[in-house]
Amino acid sequence: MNPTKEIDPHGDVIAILPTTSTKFRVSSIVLSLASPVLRAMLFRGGVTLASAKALRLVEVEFPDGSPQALEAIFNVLHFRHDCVGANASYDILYEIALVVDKYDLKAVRPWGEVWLRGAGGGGGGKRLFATYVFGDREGFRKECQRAILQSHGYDCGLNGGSEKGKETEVEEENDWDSNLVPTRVLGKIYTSPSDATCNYS
Amino acid sequence: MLLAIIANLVLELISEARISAIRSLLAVVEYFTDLYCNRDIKCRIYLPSPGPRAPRCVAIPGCDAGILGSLVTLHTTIGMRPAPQPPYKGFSVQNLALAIKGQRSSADQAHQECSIAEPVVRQVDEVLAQVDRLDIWNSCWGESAEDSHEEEKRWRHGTEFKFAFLRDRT
Repeated sequence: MNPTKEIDPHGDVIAILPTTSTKFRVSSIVLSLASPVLRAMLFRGGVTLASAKALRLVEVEFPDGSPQALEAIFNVLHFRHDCVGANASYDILYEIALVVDKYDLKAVRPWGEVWLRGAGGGGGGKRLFATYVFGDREGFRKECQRAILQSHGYDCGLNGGSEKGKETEVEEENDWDSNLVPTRVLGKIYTSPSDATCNYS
Repeated sequence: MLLAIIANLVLELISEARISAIRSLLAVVEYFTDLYCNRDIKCRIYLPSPGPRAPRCVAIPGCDAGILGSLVTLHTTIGMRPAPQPPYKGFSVQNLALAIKGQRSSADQAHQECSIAEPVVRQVDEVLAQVDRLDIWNSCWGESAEDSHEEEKRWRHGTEFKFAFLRDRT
């Protein structure tokens, strides 16, 4: 059994990830300062959800977040910068970007630059997505150009899963299509922040 | 939801730019093929006339044929037989550009003056330069979008129709 990771030992919120046993203890004040979406989730009538329900701790679900992504984000928001790694894989970086975008976490943006730099080249659509979310205009331009030059035109983004495997057997490891933002990503980002808020109203 | 709009718009712009670049690269090959299908002799090497009554110089038609042959071979190598159609699945701009630039004919060694390698490379590089100049961020949000909330609002409003169109397709 995974113990609750105490990002803030005095926090009043237990962040639950329904798909894993991972839990994080965090501060509602910190989260609400960092994100208008989380503020709407965690505050009712000017008081924290815990206070409103007369509870010491309130559990809040983060249905889409991966444990590594949420841990990195919570550490950044709670000023635990020494606990944040500068090197994140594209998968993690992409999961972080999804959460940052969903909850409008602009406070994490400076770390985006560090993670993008640490992740190196490649990454295809995941990197493209992250450069957009973290506002890296030059990185975004380069990734778009890479996509134009390297894509083999297999439809991954708009109409379903990748067709690439059906038609070609061998492609470069970092081929753009193999990393293109797939439909499942679009599905995730269709879940708007307002949907997330509704879960707690 | 906004990100979904952006994702669709960006993918659409990338796809359009890719198709346009591939179309331009294929057009380069077609241009030179058409040029060498023409009956006019392009060879620039002239031989001394064999006799006093013969014309002073004659070109070597076999040189043109060699270049045309290499272009026809290139058609097969890059998958232009039969002519591909958009969205050119299986083609990448990068690989296509490399294949076209790597095209070689007998003229490259025997008749260097006749070689089309240099003009072909120049035209391919021009297509690649157009891709390099492309700024999809600008196409989506405009130059001052980062600083202007109003610009973003206008962009959001302007893409609603396009998004609806894309959403219907998915």
